[in-house]
Amino acid sequence: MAVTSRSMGASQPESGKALPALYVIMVWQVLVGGGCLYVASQILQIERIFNLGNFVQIFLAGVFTLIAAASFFSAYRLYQINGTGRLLAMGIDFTGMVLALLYLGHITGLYLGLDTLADGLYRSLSWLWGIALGYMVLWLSWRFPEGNLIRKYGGYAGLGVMAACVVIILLTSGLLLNGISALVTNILRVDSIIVIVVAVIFGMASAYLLRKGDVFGETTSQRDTWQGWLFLMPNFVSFVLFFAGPLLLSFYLSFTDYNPAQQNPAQFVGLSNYTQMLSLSIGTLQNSEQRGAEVIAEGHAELTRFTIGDSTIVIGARDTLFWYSLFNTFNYCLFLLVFSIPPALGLAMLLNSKMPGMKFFRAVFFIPSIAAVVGVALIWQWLYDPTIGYINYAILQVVNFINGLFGSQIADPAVKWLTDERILMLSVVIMAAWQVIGFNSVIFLAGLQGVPRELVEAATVDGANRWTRFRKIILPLLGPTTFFVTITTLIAGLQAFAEPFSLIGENNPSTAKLTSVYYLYNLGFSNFRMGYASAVAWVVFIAIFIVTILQFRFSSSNRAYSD
Amino acid sequence: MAANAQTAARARTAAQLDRLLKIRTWVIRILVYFLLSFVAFLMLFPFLYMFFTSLKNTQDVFHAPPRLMPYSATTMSINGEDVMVYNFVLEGQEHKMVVDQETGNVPFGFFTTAEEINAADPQSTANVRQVKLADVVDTGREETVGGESFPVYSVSVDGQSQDLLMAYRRGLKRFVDVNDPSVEVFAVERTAPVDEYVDPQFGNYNSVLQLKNLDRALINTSVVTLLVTVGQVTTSLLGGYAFSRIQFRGRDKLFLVYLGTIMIPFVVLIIPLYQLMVIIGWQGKIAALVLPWIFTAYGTFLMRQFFITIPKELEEAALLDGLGRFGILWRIFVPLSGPAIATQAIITFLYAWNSFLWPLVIIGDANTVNHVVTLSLRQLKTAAAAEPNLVLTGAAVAILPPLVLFLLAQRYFVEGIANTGLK
Repeated sequence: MAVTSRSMGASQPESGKALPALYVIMVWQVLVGGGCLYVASQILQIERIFNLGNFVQIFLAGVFTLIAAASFFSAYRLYQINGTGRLLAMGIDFTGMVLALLYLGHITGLYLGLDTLADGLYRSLSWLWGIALGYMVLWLSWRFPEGNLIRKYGGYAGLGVMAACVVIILLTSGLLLNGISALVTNILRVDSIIVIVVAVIFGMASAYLLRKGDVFGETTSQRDTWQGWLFLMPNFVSFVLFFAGPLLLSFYLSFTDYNPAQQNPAQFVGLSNYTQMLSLSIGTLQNSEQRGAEVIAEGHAELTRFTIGDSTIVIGARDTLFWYSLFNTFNYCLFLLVFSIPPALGLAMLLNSKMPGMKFFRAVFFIPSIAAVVGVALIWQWLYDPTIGYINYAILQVVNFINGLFGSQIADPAVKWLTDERILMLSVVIMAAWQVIGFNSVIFLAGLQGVPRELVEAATVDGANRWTRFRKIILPLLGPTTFFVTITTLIAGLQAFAEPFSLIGENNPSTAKLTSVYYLYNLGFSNFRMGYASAVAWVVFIAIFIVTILQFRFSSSNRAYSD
Repeated sequence: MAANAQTAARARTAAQLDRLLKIRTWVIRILVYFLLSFVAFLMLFPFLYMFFTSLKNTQDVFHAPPRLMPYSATTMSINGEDVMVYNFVLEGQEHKMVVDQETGNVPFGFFTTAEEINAADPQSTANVRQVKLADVVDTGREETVGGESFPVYSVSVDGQSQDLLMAYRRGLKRFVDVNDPSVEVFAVERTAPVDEYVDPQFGNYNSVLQLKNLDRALINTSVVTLLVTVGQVTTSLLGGYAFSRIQFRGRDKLFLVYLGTIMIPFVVLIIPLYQLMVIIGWQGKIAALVLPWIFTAYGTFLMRQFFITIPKELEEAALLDGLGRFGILWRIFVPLSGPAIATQAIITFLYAWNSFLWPLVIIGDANTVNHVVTLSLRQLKTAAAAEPNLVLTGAAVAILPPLVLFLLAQRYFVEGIANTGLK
């Protein structure tokens, strides 16, 4: 009912008779604007802002100036009793309140309380069983039908036990007493009180404006707008703080020489990170005695050389490690696709047969993909062990069997899976493919189940054999699914880090293990060349971007076919 | 008559054909099951290996060739001392034997003929006769084979004395049967067949929890995973509802931005996010593992996709009943989207539990108190490199919670992921 009365109010705005409280809010909006301008000027005057360079300073000052302008503008529009002005003011005030409360949590150490929480849980671990016990009582009593006394009192008992255990955990871990007392002392500090006051004013202003919808002649679209943003607020605030902001910063840093281990702030260096990374130099050797370094440009190191006819061509790069890592990543992705997608499709075809027990197999194939890569790498590290590992043992058994069968003299290969530079990436890929095959086959299976049965049956009647049916009907209809699987596998492969990092290990100095992200990690967190590492990150991103665009293109052009 | 016979013959061939077809289907079925079982074995074997190795003791892990079951060597108390028990097979009979410590090393010679001796490497000569040096007579002669000279001894073979070359000599231990001291065997102690019994070391699980803070890391990971999952589902529900049901200004543009962020890899954010955490003082804190992960464009997108399939009429009826937006979301949308919420919660759970790169960067090695499971595993790997049984116990501890969740909620995993893949 409230809906209708409000939308009726829209036709007759009650301008002219402004409320006195509205003037207070206007003054507040002007104050907020002034405050933002002050903050902006302060930001510009700071010597340095965490060595990030003055670009960040200018950017932040600009943001605050924009907010100030919006705030001034909203005050002006409020004076005119304008609905958009009200929305703007509400937006600023509500966001202001949320940010003030978040900041309050920061200065009172609320977020760091998570450490205390984990610590407390750790120290009163045994009481957690009490919670489990209470839950069991609750669960059991819920087995009884509605109205049964056991259901009622058993439920109470279970909840009581759980609540008691929670209280005991909070008490014994000191979380309740120490935590709250620390919070209270922190809140009673001057800065906290100021923030609280600001938050309360922001909150009151937005609440007041919220209730005065009829004064401003609120339309349905305006109401939807504030309601929509209200719902989106938790999502949007963390999006801006932890996604959009860092993304911009990353883009900026990729054009600087930012290095937090050094004293001087980041310098804007233009495209030099990218040129350093991508610069190649090609030269041709005059004779066989000549060294590679002589024919490529200064500052480059030899990357690779190959011979076409009589001439040997040398390719040099400024950052050879980047090119190695790019090559390794490319290799990794290629083999991952080959090892994981055709087998996954084959498994999905088998699983698609209408026989009992397929759900069981589907579940079993899926299990590897739920385990942590770090844990899986520990297992495979020992499976790959050259002397006591099962993989070499199985190979030896097969070799012995073949030798026994044909009387051949094949020697035990005794592969050094994790130390031989030529194959260590292969070992990583085998493990990664093992993890992803089941996952991919589940998606393939869903695609196969979408293939119309009549089509396949009609083809069978027409005399098409299994292979023809697969090639001419199933595979084309599976196109979008195949593409989806390929793309997701490829995107995961381009970001491979934990696999080589955990399986090959940090102690192996070989460059054969370096994927692009591994290289980025080394650059950023061992050498602290964070500006340069950001540039590498953007190159990885661009690669993923291209792949994704391809997917969108392909899937939209295929949609008509599959529907 | 003839027509009848014809029909009968046709029926017979039809029945034969039918039987043939049936056999063919059965053969195919068996083949399919065989293949699937083989792949299932490959998929499960690493986990089996992990589980069995986690029950082994440190000596048993290094047994070559590898074997699954956890074994321990049998020991026996003799004169108050624990001694190893060995298992020899003599004339088809098993004998439990122990080393006769009093006798010490007994010198033995290993004899063979000049034709059979491996002059280049006498120790690996194929057919050697092992005889106590005390039982042979040195002839004093020497014979040269392949440039090497070997002493010649007179050895009694089958009651007859024979001149043989001594390939090498070695001190052997005397093993006696514990039940019948008259039965004795001489062998090298190091390579003697140790008597073993299956002996799972469940204590490994207890001891690995004390190593490298794994117990604390489990608590931390649980806290982080729980908070991230609840947070992501909450923000996704709210955001998904706004995007699917509220026609607000700027919605479609913002939704496009959200969609665009799905393909932005985390590696692009890692450096600035790290700096942000350093600036606000969250480096090494659990808050850094939780709060930046509350937002998920992908989850919001999934929730929106699910919500737009819910009929509008349900909502309009509720609006007329005076239910607010939150009421509609909580009373109508949330109960209807159980499977979608379960799928998202599971995906988030796995992601949070298994995440590695971000904790590695932001918690690092220094603050071991705030380690999550993956970081503890990484440290465990180096700290217990000589004890793979403990390392794999650690891996089992880390993998068990997702595995249990999978077994409980298998339906949501497999079907949820199949559905998201198709959209």
